Amino acid sequence: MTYETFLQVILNGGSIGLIYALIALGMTIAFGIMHIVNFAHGEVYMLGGFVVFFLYAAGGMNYWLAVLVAMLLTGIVGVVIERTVLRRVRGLFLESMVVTFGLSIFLQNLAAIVFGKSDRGIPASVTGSLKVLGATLANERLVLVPISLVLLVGLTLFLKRAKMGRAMRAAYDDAEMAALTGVSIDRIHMACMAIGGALAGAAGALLAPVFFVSPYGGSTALLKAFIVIIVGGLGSIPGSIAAGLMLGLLEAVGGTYLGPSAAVIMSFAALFVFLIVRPRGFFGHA
Amino acid sequence: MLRKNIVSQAPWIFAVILVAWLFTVPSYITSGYYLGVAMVIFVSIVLAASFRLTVSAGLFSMGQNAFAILAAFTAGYLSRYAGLSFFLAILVGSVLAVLLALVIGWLVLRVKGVYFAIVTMALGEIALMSFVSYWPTDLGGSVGILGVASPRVTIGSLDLNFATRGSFYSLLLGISVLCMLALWWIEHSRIGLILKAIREEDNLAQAVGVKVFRYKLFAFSAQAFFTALVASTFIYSTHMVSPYDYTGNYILNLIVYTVVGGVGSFAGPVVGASLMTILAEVLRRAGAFYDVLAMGAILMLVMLFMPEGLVGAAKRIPSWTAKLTSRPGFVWKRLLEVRKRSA
Repeated sequence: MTYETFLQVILNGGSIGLIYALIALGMTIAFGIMHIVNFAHGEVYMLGGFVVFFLYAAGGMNYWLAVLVAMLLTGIVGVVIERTVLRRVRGLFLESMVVTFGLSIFLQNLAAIVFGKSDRGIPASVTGSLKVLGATLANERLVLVPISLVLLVGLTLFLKRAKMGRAMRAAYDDAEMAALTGVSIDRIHMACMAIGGALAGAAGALLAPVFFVSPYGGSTALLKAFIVIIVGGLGSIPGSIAAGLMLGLLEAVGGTYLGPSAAVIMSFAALFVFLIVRPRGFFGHA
Repeated sequence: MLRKNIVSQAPWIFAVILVAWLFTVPSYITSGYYLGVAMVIFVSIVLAASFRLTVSAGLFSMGQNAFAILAAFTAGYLSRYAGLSFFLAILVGSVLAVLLALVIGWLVLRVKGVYFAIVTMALGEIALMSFVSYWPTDLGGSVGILGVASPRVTIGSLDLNFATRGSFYSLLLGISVLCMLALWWIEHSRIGLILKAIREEDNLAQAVGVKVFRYKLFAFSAQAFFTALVASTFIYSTHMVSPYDYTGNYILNLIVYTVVGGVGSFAGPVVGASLMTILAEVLRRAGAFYDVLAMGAILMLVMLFMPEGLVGAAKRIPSWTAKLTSRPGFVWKRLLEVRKRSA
């Protein structure tokens, strides 16, 4: 093992880890504000990948434009899920879990029927590679870093500055008090699902050229998001980012030196350890 | 008095007649297909009922496939390669599953709610992945174990051979009935009451002196035992073990059976598992994925519009009629009132 390979593994893992953080953020926002665990979140991610496949790989549209369309569409899907399904189980924790689990299975198999069950490869978004400190890095992975950082910073600014973002933070602290001051809980929940959906769609669209798209990709993404939000602390944004990076690095290092199955088992083991030693995660509330 | 007794005993009488009838089925239905579907239903019922046992203790466990796959592989391996007899093989498989449940339960039962659901789901994934990737191929692995022989039990001079479909059907039915009786007993014993108390408010139960952790551990490992027992028995019907039979769909089915039938009553999983297994069997002919697609949609719709399930909804019918007849505008009541007034 050389220093260069190690650096390469670290940077690859880090770039994927930021994407994991994007997937997990939608779930963690939904948990923090709506108090639900959305099992169908992975299918929104999967849909983002398929939008890119149909528009960019099959339709010849510009890749970045396709990513934007994917974000827009998955954001709308998020709102539709909120209006049609989640609104009916608001405040019912177990029920919302079962309902979204059913929805997730439904969407997954619908995708398998409509899109076909085979894995679809997607040509690279950017070609070439870059030498950083002696390590060779594929541009298609490097480009993930600035984009996910832009999305993460954008989300943070939105929550800090925008009117809706501030209302969302108010609802996170105390939904009833927020409602009393004239904040519409319905609109906040819709915004939650729109943002979460768009972020998951962006993650799916961005990872599509790096991996491949498959109707079952959502369940893998969901499990990764679960690991990230538990290790980072349910409802915590900085926690999700830190845990996403950690998971990406763990998988990259474990995958390179022990094999891909070992990497997955290691990440689950990390989940176990965290649940037992520190159930509230890095930055979660008690 | 007598009438009241008959009414309260009616479910039991019905169950006894039903089981007795089920035992006679192989004598006139010889189609391997229909007996096969019936066997899947028996297994599904026990799996769903044991899932309900953990739900009744407030634990939403999503990792039953870990116990099923461990027991199925153990029993399959012991029968196929070590020449162990049927009962010993399924017993060893089930005991191993209980040991796993005790260790895992001891670790994960300190978390609740969604954390528990997620961590048990991860457990199922780890178990599946371990059998696919790390179990040596010559002992099964991703290929699975093929050629598991039909059970043959010799006790003294008694030689029982379960090689025919019909005889194995009876064996599986017998084991399932025993499991259901045990589950019924647990629910209606002191343990069942304590589990219910834990579900309602575990801190309160703890405060009045219930050893909550122990009872949760009991529910979790009892569930693992019944799951493992029927899952390992079932491999002798298909004569094979494949890790891909124990994916997330395994868990999906358990949840669908229980929710559709209704979590609130013992009959819920029985009704749900029977109906849903038949429905899935019919839909499978429509094409791949349609059965699973329907299971997902049904789970969602039932939870949204009939959260108490079929049995729960059926139980409400008497109260609807009561409500209907007690409505002020109800014609019979009016007539009665008129008669009273005139009297």
